[in-house]
Amino acid sequence: MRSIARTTLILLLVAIVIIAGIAIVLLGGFYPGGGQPTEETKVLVLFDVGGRGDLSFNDMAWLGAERAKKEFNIKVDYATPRSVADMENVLRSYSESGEYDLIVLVGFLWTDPLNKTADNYPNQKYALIDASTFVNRNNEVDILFKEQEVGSLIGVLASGMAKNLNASKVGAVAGMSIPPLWRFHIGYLFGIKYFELKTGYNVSLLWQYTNTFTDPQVGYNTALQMLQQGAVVLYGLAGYTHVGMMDAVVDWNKNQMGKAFAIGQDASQEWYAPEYIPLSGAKRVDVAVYTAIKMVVEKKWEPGIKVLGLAESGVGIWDLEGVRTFAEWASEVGKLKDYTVEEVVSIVNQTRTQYIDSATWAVYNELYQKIASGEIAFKDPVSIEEYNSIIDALINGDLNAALSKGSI
Amino acid sequence: MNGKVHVMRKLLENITSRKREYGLALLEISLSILLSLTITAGIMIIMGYPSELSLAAYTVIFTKGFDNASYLFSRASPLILTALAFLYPALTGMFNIGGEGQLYVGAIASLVTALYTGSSLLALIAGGLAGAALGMVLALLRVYRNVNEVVAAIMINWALFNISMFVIATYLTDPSIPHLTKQVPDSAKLPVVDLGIIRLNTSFLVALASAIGGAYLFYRTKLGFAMRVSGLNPIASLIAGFENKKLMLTSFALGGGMAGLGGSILVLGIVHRLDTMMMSLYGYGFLGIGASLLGRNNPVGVVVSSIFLSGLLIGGQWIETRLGLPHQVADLIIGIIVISLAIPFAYHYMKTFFRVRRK
Repeated sequence: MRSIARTTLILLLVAIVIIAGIAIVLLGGFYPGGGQPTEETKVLVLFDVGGRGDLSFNDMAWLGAERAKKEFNIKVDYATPRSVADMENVLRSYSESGEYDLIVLVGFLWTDPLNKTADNYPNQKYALIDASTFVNRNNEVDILFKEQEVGSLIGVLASGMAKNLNASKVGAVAGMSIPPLWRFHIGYLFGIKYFELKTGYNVSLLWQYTNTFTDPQVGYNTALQMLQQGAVVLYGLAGYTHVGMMDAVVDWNKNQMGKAFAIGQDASQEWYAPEYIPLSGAKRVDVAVYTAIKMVVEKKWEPGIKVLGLAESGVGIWDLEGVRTFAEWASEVGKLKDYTVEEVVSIVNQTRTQYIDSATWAVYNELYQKIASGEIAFKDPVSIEEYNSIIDALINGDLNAALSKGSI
Repeated sequence: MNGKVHVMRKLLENITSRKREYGLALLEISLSILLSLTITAGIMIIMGYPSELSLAAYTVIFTKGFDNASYLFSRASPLILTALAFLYPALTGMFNIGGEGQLYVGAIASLVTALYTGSSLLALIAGGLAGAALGMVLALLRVYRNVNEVVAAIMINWALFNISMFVIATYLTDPSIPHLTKQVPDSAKLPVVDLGIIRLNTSFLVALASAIGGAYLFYRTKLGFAMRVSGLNPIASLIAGFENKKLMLTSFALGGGMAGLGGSILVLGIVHRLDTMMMSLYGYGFLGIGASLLGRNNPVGVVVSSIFLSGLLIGGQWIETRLGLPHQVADLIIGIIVISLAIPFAYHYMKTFFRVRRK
């Protein structure tokens, strides 16, 4: 008797499962898989591992793609690879499908996968952001940024803040001695010297390579040494390492050791400590993504390397709107703890007006005009010797040594 | 011909004689899938999405996850090995949570060996030995100093994560791309063989061989038998004259070696270089524990469950493009599927546990 009841129960359950299975297959089949044939442009943005919510590259890429989506009325899809081991296969699958007119790849980790894939799909267009394969392909554009230009503007403003604090030193915590950092160094020093030329106020630069992009403790120690040597404004150029630099600056202020400021780079990092981070240099990944999409939508595809500068709004200083956007994201992911978004914006605004005077802004605007109008352009050092000789010349006051076009 | 029929009949008889068992297993799996579907649908509704999206999500995950065999097998290879890293010590009654750290060490040892010697065989051996050595450390602490291997492993994992990051950033980076290490030379890469139907990554063969070798060792040799007995009942094993300490050391070293080998094939066969944030390595060790439990602590089951889990992970990547859901939803769904499938195993385990307690 008992066994009969059990058998019935099992049969009943099996029946339910089978019915449910059929229902899944049917309903699943009805649901459109997203592949409707349309004439509109389709773009795929492939994020770095981790995807959205990083308050930096991935979020900026999303911002740029969303802007393009609205303006050009196109379809944009996003995807996040699970791990580095998935990148090549994910890229291959999407290239194979031929569904997208353009695949945008965010971040340097895509360099290897792209190199292994791009030649197999000559009709698939790719845009690699802030990295380059250094291979010329007709279906690939690499978008880079002019680090010297943003560095020089930051140099002017850092000097201006140092002047306001009656100090004679500014610093920078840099990652490794590699070409993008050489370009930052040249720009930053150029800005400092340009400020000296225009106002007569002499500020010297403490520049330190930490040899790591991933170690906040090293950043903290390096920054502390600079602060002890009298630097009052520190520019962070070391990725995750310079988060430690920001912590050092915050501690320095909180422990009443003196007044000091930190400056971020790439994303707007003011929200991290708005009272002590009044500025961030911008690497506009959003503009890069937008530019790549625009090339495809307007059918003006130019493969090769494209370098965005001030003129293209690819670099610059984050304005208050940018500060607000990043503060909002930070608050969405729960990282903005002690302030509201409004407070961040108003504190930053207040610090900027208090510590950067109108004379400094005048120098800034003048330099900005010269660069944006193309009157002057910076050199790109290809060897460490060339880089060192440019730095030496700048320290001796020869501003033109850093320029490939125009003169001061 | 006759022989074949005979074998078939034997197989059929085998199946019919265990009808109930297979039927129950089938029922369990079906119920698990039904349960996970229901839960996901519920979560979708709570999150404000239409509930039929859960069905669509399952369709996407299962169709996109298993349509590319080459990708599936290469993705599963390191996972099989980290799952074995948990399984082998578990069969001897110990928990190896240290697969993650052993994987890091194996990967770095392999990369360094590959860079200096250019030989894939040497690099594989180096990776395996490095992982085994680390597993040995945990086992020695457990056996001779009575340090709980789970606690030690968790702490060592994090220490190794940071040490590995330091080693990579300081000694192995490529000066032209400072976020990445130097690349494994071509001579040391594990080849991809084009078989027409699939492009088979030889990493998978390494993983498969490890699983089959393990199955043979544990179920066909004296040593394996002794290890299993010691895992099931240490006292009985002692009475039977087995040296429990040696057996524990052996199985833990074996497990460590598996994880180390997993790191090796990841570097030599799949990513070819590491990055300073360790994004190419992180997570395989922890995921391996899940794959091992899902494979019901059986080497062959582990191969199946690793491939299954990899398929889910691969398919999950399409959730964002196909359905416009955030990619975290894919992780959520995969988690629910895995837990649902693990429930019957946990149920049987608990049942025997309480039955033993009652007696």
